[in-house]
Amino acid sequence: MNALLNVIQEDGAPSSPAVSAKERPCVLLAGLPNAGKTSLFNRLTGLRGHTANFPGTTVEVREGALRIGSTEVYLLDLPGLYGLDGGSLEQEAARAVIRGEAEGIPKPDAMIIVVDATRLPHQLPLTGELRAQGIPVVVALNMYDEVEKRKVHISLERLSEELGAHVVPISAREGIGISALLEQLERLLLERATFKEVPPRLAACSTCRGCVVTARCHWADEVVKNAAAESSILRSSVADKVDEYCTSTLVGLPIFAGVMFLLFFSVFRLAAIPMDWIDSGFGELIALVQYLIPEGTVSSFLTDGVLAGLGGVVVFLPQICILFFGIKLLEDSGYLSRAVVVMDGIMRRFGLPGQAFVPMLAAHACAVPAIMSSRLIENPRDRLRTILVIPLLTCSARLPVYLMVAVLLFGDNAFAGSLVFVSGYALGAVAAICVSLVLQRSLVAGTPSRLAIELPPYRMPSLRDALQSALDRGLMFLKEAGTIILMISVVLWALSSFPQLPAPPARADSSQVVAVSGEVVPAQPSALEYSIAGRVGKFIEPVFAPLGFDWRISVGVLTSFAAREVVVSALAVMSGIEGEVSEDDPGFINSLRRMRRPDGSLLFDIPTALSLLVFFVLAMQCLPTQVMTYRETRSLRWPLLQFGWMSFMAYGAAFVTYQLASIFVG
Amino acid sequence: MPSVDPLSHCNRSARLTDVQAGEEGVVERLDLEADERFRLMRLGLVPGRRVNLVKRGSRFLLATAGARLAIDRALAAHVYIIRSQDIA
Repeated sequence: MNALLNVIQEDGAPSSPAVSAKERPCVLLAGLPNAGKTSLFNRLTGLRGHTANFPGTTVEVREGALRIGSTEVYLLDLPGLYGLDGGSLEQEAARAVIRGEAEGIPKPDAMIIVVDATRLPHQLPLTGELRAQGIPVVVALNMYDEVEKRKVHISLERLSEELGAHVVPISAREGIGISALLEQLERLLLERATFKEVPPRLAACSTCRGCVVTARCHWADEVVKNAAAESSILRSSVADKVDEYCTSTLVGLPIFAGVMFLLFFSVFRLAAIPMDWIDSGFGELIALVQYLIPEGTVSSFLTDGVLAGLGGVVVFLPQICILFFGIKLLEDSGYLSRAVVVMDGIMRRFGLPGQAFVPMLAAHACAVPAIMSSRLIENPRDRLRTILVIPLLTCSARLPVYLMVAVLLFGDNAFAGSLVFVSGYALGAVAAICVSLVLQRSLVAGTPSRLAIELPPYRMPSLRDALQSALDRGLMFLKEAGTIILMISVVLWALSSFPQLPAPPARADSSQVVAVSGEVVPAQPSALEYSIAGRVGKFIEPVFAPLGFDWRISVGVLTSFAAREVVVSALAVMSGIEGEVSEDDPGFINSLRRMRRPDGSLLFDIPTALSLLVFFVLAMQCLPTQVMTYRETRSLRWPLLQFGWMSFMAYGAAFVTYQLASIFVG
Repeated sequence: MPSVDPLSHCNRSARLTDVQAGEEGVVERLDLEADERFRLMRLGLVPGRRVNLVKRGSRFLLATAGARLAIDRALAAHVYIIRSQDIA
């Protein structure tokens, strides 16, 4: 490490006055994927950076503030790039930012190009391209500690000369060289007008008649030849061997299955603990509000509307954060790319590219961040197909429904109950495959692009970066999904509370059902029945009757159209209103179990419970997802279509399930 | 079985699919339509660069210029290289 420190001291800038403070200078952070950009960003901004969207697009960018002396610098982390001349959304956005054409983002004053020192020939073509954009640059030669450890020599002076930019050796992960980088950046911002010209050899390249990319690669090879020893291209035969196994079907697939099992096991096991806390925390809060505010509309608004809505959102945070923590660890370790290779063979058969596996993995926590992470798929048609099937995969919001059905059907039998979960997951996955195949042959035709990806070197993942990613995703979920779900919760509360019953309802007999000569006459409607939601439920009861749903389940389905987990609490409320909760057995599922139809038969018989399960696996009941689909596809057509066919599938499949089950069960 | 290129007598280049794992060579050309060609080139697989075939199969693993790539066999079939042994 001494050599590195020496280099930094030699290269250190004289102490200079702080950059002019009249306005925040804008500094970009650019580099290839896996060059360590995010690590450096986190190093530079602490945990104060946050993820935002490029104005007018859905491309994510991390932005943060950075202090150099007394000056605050606006730091923008561009998406990982292979070049600026591609057509993906991220490249378009990056290009606009670099050229100062992005709305709402200041023209950049300087750029830090992050380069992985262990893979120079692969990294430098982009440096050359970025170098030619007319922005002062400083090159952060990342993972320099690794280069030193392996005693590979890179002449920083020569490299600087060749690139026409200052090169600062750093290790973003270890936090080495950061202050030297900042000094260099400060100098760059001060000398704004007099930055070095683009080196002549590189400038000549862009006028080559042949392919610009080839020219840049050859330029990079030349630079490396002049500045570093031949052995600077680190290649490990161990990694070759590991890759051979990890990407093969015979060994790679079982490894993949094992990794996924571990990931999901920890998601569900670990998340259960904070989820319990959140659950009981909100229970306490509700009790507190009920204690402080006398029973009435206000108290009910706060508890059944606001707190129930908030609780319903926050409870999913642990699973989402843990899943993204795990995904980031896998990504940083380099394994995720190998998993993409393994999955590509399987997914292509279903009309999806291997890269679609990452968003589909995320979809098992929540479709909202999953749709966002589908951006890594380059081909727009592949991306669209992926986005359209994502909502069919079992997200965490379906789990309360699966659990309810499992307990309704099998009570405490854990083994039989887990079958409900397995079939829910399987049905969702099969439906996703079928929809993708149909789309591929109809609306979104075309074979998925053929696999061509980089396999980044295996590295020890950084917990710090994974934590940051988990926090980011959690906040994003709260922002994107949370606000919508909370709003809906309040609206639904209003719909199911108004108009209120004229007289204070006498709970015990308000909804007594009296059968007179075979006809069913409610003595007096319950509060819910009297409300708008209840009336609508009654009105549409005939629509859902073929699925075995009565008006109460219909209300549940209606209230959950915007957020599916709501059905559980809606049914809980209704079973309570039925007045059949017994003192010694307060579990609401047991009260659900005792709910009866007007003819006296049990409401949740086996066919109804199964049909409810099937309906909730397949139905599009998530407004945040629909909003996300709209924003990603920039068209109303796709979210509407998604809603249409998923509802149709859900209804059809639930109908078949109910009718078949009724025949078999009796 | 490697297919026999009818022009092999006058052309020393070979498709990646006809190269054995562990062999090394220099990329000669990418005989692909513009989009796919560009995707490979952007990953650093450009004519004139040395490439090493790490593994064959339905997905080919290559090592080139400090990067390790995985590409579909169908793409590999259109990447022509001149084997180091043929240069020598």
